[in-house]
Amino acid sequence: MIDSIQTHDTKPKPDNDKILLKVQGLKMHFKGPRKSIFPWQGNKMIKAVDGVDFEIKSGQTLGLVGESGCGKSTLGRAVLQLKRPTAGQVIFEGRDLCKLTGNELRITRRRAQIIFQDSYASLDPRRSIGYTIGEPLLFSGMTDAKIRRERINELLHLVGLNPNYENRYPHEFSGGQRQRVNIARALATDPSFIVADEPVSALDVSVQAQVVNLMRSIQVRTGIAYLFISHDLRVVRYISDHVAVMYLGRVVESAPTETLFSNPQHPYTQALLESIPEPKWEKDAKHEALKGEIPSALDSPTGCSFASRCPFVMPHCRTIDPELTLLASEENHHVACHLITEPNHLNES
Amino acid sequence: MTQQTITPITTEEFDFMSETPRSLWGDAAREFRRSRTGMLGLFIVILVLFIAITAQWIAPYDYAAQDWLALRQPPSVEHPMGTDAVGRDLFSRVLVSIQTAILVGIIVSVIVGIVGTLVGATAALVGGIVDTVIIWVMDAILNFPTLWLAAFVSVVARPPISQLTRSLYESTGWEIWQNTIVLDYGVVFTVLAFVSWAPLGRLVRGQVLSLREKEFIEAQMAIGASRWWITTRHLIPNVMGPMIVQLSIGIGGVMLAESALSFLGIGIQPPGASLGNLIAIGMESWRSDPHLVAMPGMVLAFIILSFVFVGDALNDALNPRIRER
Amino acid sequence: MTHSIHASASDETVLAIQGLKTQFSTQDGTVYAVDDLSFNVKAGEIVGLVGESGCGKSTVAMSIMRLLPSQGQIVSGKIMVNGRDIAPASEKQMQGIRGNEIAMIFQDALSTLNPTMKIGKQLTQPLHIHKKMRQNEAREYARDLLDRVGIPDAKTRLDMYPHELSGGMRQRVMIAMALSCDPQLLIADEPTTALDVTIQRQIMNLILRLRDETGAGIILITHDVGVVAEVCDRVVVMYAGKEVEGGPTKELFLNSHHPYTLGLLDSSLDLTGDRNAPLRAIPGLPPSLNHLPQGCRFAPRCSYRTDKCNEMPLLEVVAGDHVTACWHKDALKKTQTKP
Repeated sequence: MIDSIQTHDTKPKPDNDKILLKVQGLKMHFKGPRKSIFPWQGNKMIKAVDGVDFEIKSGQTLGLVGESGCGKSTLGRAVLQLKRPTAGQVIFEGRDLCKLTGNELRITRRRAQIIFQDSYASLDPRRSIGYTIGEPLLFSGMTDAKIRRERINELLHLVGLNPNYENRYPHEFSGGQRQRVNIARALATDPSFIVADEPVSALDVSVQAQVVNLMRSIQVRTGIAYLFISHDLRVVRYISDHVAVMYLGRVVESAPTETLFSNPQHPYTQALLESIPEPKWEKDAKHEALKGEIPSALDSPTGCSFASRCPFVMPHCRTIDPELTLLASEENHHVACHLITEPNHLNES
Repeated sequence: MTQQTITPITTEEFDFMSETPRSLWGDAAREFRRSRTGMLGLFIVILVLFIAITAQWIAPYDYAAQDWLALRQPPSVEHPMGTDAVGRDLFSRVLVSIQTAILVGIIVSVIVGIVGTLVGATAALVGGIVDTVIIWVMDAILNFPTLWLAAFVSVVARPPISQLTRSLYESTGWEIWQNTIVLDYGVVFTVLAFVSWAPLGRLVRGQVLSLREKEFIEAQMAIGASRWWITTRHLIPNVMGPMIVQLSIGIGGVMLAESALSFLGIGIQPPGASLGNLIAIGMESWRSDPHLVAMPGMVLAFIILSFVFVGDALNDALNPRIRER
Repeated sequence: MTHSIHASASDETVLAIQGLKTQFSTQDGTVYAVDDLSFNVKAGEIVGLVGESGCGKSTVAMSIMRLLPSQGQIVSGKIMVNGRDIAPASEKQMQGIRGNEIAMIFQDALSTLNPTMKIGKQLTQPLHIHKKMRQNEAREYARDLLDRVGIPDAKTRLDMYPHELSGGMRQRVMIAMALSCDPQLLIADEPTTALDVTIQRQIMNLILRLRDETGAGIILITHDVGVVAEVCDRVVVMYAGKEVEGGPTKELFLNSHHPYTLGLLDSSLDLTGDRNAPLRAIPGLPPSLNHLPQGCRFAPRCSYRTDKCNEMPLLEVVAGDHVTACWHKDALKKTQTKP
């Protein structure tokens, strides 16, 4: 296994500004418990994803961060139609995935793959990893076993695993190695886009770095785009070109990575950054914690979903939902916050 | 900056993988071998299977041969299990009966396996009203007292099966369809399969439901597998483990049930051979010739116990364990 | 109920572990999950036990609390709590110690709290057992405890079940339970790992505040280097069952003298490093405890290794409290590589 492929340090700027994936108004609403004992009053709705827009260009990475209940994992699956969205459009390589079904969807979906957090549960425990990596190839019509074998070897090599291990079973590998297998499988059909749902969260720190390096080098080599979902801003910073922060089903801030980390505008983003423990010794480090708890997605209050915990909350925030607006001063930096966009309300009692 | 450079190190340098790939089945086999009761059970099961196949040849006497000079003999060298009221060698009769027991056990288990898996998987995958109806049916079957249900079904099933054998005889002309033993077998298979499939159906349904949520199934969808592919290539193989355990312990139950039915007179009847009807015949004179009841009874108990041992050991062996580094 | 306000670290040693060895019998033989570990915890001090999975840090906690599974056993060593060696203590004696002098909080509060028992009842149990309080008194005390750990509306919460509370709340309840009998030593095994980032910060601040209020010594077990940097006074770095480096946090971060610690620090992601550089990773994998190399256990992955490393390095002093187990400690330059 060859670690830290040293041939690339920087990601070249993508030379085509082609928008690979455009998501608009995506919603995932689930039926919750009944409002009362009378069935005709209907059910409460769980708005896991409540109107999300974003774009990803070829060869770029969008980092999606948020804490539990923000809907990021649901969003990842909804984009790939693994769970059908309640509303919205997912335009991938020019076609709206939400409108595709059956065979058409299956074929188009080969170009968009997914990697999960649990590296063991993502693999069939009774199949060798060679079989698992080769299976997508069967669906693309690569029926010749010899050609498949070659491609499997190629993929194993690409992810830094010894090709001799193709007959081994998932439980014989470590977590980091299994994740490499998952990456190899995702790459088998030569996709242009991969959704990575917390791919390194379950791994040891030193192994996390290995896998992130691998993903970056693959991106440089193949020009693949990632939707990198994670709760860990530290990891997201190293792999993303652009970051979107989610809270209770909505995007509250999105900006190019540098900008988000150096100049966060939304109070939630600021609180997140303040909460992250940094692996650096600091004398008398004191960090303020954000008060309160993440509210349940069941009783979504009116107004801004963050109002209950926001240190800068104004009365206006509790009644009107802030829209994601472009900040005039920055490039592609969007915020959904009344404080930023309508500061005149600050003076209301 | 630290001095260190990152030197690529190949895994060969600290390779702690085993010499050969260890599949889960291979691991399970190794685990199984560690269990003493399991291996003992397996040994007896293999022995029993051997007897089942060769009974006719290894039995010292014919099943029905009557020796009027040796009536009601207790166990001796010539008759290891003694003889019955009409001089038939019990040992030979037991051997042939084992054949029946195994035949019934295996065939019923196969039927149960197929039916249970199909129904259980369908319930889990289709869901909705189909699932509800299937559960309802399974619960209904499970709630009836087994023996009562078996008796009821055997009475109800006998006429149609009798009809079936008659028409088969008419269409093929094979003598075999006229044999009452075949009729008996037909009824017994039907009854036992009917009564035993529900627990397996429940098990398969539960397993499939939980597997369905696992990420590797979602991943299958993502790579473009059809539902059929996912079901046959990934769901069913992963259900096999618990299913095999259930079936191997279940075989014991099936054999016991068959014996019970035969004992009661609604299963395999003479001239058919069954441990159950051997015990029934023996019951008539159990005070004077206890060996006529004890011998078939003990043999039955041993066989069932061995299957249970094997099933238990399989259960311990088949849970896939992750060896984390 | 008295709170004693202590200065950050008094000289009183609450826990002194000497030469602890804990073994596990596995299918492939006997392994030493903890191999000759020694460290101290003073009152009011937070000592971090850091390492990756399999290094033995959780086993240390289990050994102290004597909550090892049946395959585990303390083979040798002393565990001195308030001057008494509890390693040979009987189970009955340990029952008197657990929850009383030594308390523990775990990673996942949902599985550690009894799901069928109300919070109030779970909180009052240690009070009945160790402090012999009556029902009413215990309930009052429990309500106070919930207040102390920052749970709003404490009175109502007492009658709730664990699943009715959020993750952060449950963790606070677990901390309240741990503190109920004023323990001198608190062991926290990955207390924030399963929590959201913002809640994590709340809990970290809570632990710091409670340390100041009660003066208990705390062992914080974690794999998160950031948590260690911000919360711990001293650190013990473990690898494959042994301590490879230990000392004051500042020393370890600014002046580390062990390749593993350096590797760990290097591969820990932060918010200010160069985004475009490849992440520094420690190549390879931690060894399986059944197949340990001869000599230094980190050697196969270490870029400084030489033949001398076939001999097990001993813990040697670098400066003051700071010790390290590496033959090449003098060759290592100082760290804090991130600009």
